[in-house]
Amino acid sequence: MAIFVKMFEIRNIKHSYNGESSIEFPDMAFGPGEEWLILGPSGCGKTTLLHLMAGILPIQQGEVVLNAQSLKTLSAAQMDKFRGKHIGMIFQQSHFVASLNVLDNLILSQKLASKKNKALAIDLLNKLGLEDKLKQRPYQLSVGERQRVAIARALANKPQVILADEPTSALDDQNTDKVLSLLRENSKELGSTLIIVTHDNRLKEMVSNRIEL
Amino acid sequence: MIFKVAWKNIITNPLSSFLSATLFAISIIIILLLSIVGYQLEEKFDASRKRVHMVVGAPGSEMDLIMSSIYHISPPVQNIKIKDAAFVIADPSVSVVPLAMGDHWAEDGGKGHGEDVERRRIVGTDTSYLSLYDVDVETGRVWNEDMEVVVGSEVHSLGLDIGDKFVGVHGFVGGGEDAHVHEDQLYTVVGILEPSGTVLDQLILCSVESVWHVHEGHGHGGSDDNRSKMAGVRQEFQPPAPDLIYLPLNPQEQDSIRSIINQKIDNIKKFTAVDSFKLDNPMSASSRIKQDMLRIRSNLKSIIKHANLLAGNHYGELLGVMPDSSFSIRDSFSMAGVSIPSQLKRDISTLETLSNSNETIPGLIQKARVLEGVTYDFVFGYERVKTDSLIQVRREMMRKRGVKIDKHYLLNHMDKEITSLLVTFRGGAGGLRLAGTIKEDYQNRLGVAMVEVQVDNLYGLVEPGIKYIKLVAYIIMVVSGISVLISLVKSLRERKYEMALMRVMGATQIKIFLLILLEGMILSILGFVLGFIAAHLLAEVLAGQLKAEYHYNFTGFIFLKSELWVLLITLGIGFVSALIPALMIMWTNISKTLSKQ
Repeated sequence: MAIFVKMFEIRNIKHSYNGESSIEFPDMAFGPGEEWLILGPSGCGKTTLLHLMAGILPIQQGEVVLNAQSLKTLSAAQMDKFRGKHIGMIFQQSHFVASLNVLDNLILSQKLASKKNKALAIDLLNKLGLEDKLKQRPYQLSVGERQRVAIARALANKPQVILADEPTSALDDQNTDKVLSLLRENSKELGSTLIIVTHDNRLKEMVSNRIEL
Repeated sequence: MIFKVAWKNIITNPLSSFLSATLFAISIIIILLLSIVGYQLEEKFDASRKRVHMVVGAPGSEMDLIMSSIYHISPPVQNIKIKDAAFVIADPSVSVVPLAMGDHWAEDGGKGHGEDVERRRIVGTDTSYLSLYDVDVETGRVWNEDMEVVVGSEVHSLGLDIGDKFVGVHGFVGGGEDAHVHEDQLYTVVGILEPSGTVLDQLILCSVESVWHVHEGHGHGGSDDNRSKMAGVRQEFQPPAPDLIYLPLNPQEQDSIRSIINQKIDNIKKFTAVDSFKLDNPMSASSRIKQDMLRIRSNLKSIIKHANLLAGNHYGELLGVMPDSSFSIRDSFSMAGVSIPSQLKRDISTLETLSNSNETIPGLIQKARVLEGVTYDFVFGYERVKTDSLIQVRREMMRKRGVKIDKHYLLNHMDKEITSLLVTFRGGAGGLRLAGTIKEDYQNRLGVAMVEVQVDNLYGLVEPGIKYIKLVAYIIMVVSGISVLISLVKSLRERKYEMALMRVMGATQIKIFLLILLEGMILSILGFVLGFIAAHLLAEVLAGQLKAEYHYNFTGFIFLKSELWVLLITLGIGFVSALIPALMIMWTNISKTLSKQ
């Protein structure tokens, strides 16, 4: 059994869909509070990697270890809870529980992870410039605003790791700058490790730790 | 939290949620409304028929008798003569409550035409009517004098109070200028009945004599012409004049009966042709013999009848068949203390011999029927048994009680009329025999309705209908379940990503499963609550109309055990319809969902 020294490590990961030829991913290790960019062209398996790291896809080969906990050994229900507690996710297109307002979406996320903290949720939304959108429903927001809410939601549980899947690809340059800096600032503040998976070259210059797929 | 999300999801899609819940509600309204109204109708109907086994009234529809005399819904068609019903009134195996109807009280004194005028029947009866329902006078007292009335609790709440005087309006419906109002005769309220939930609540009661009093000299209430015309059809079966004699017989009465018997015996002796009549070959009898035989038979019948009177059977005529009777015609005569005339001895013994022989009696009776019409068997196989069994029953009862039976007060008014008799059996087959007699021998003068049979018929008519409506309602409920299923499945297609997202945020599969299940259940509960409230409110509205129609009190605010069952069924259907989408979403591949941006 290999020894995992870093907070979050992946090793020897291979994945194949329906027995087709498998994609191989390089080993990676992330420390607490670090910022990482995983770059790769479309179709190289970025999303697959992200899903493996978040335990959304079952691990076929290799190891994903967070806080000395191998994700492979968790049952489905344990995995759901573990992920809720320790991992925050942001997607290219943000989705919400449509029937709940912005604040309730954050609180739902906290509650599902048994970490209810309304003050933090409001604080985060304020910091992201959404103080007047708390009671609005997600569909009433602009794309940029929605992405900011998604960031707030990912941070609301104070996760150790934030996995962002193409968080800026749907945004214009101006919004990209804004969203990215907000993401970085706030995850830094919470001490979360930020891992962004993207093919967006605009981000290249902004983050120093890079892994190319 | 799950509940909040489920609830928010429901109110976010108000249209489809409303549709599903409304469908549920509609089925529940139908089911509950039928239950609420049906239960109360049945309850009131059962309360009002109480211990009444049989209604004796004018001939006609049996259902009408029940409806007019027990439930006081339809108006009675005709009256009957006490004379005709005397044998019922006097029969010790039943107790009777007389009802004399003809007038009603109207709110406006019978002056208006309006259909919304409250009207309640005035019923002449006696206190046995109150005992039948175990109802007492709550305030005031029971009627003592003519024209004193006691009103039911509901009639009291319509405004009639102790001391009030009012006129009776003739008939049962209507009123108006041409209404016959008994203006010179005022009823006075002397008492109010306690509420009982029976038909008594809606009636105005007085003595039978009061009704006669009001109608004296008016000549209405009867239709003697009609009845005697009808009676003419079966003159042979004239019942005895029941006013001739009643128990106990005094010596003069006994003598007069004996002289009648002797006269009849003399009559028989005149018909010499009887000697040549051979019972074993009746077909060869001449028309002369036939004629004589008819006369002999009618005299014989009369003798037996009077012998019965002497023997203590004051019904005079014959009630029902009791095949196991061990009495014979001979016993009748010996009981009556009359020696069998020698003329008859041979015939009787021949008949008796034949009747004991299984082989010959059916043939004999058939031949006799050909010869005599239907009536030959009357002489022996039929009448003897009926009469004798009566004597036996009567004597037995008197012996057991060791008391003489009082003459019913109505029997002092043989020529008066009443509308009907509510008959309660005192045990034994006596009541059924009475019914048999009425149907066979009094069909032109009396009608009889067995309460249980008629009420069963009524329910039999209504129940399949209710069953089908309820079936339809349950089908609607299933449809509402399907609508829940469809709207959930439809919304899931849109919410698939949402569910995956919740999984990412830490929701387990079970939680997602429960969330969807909860949505279905909430819709069905919502439907039930809506339907429950609506059904009870509607029932309360209907109650007003039903009250006007049936004069019964109904309410929408009763709660039945069966409603719990309906709730359980609703929950069950909600559960099953949500189960499929809940399972569908539970097993969704979230990675695939999330990848499809």
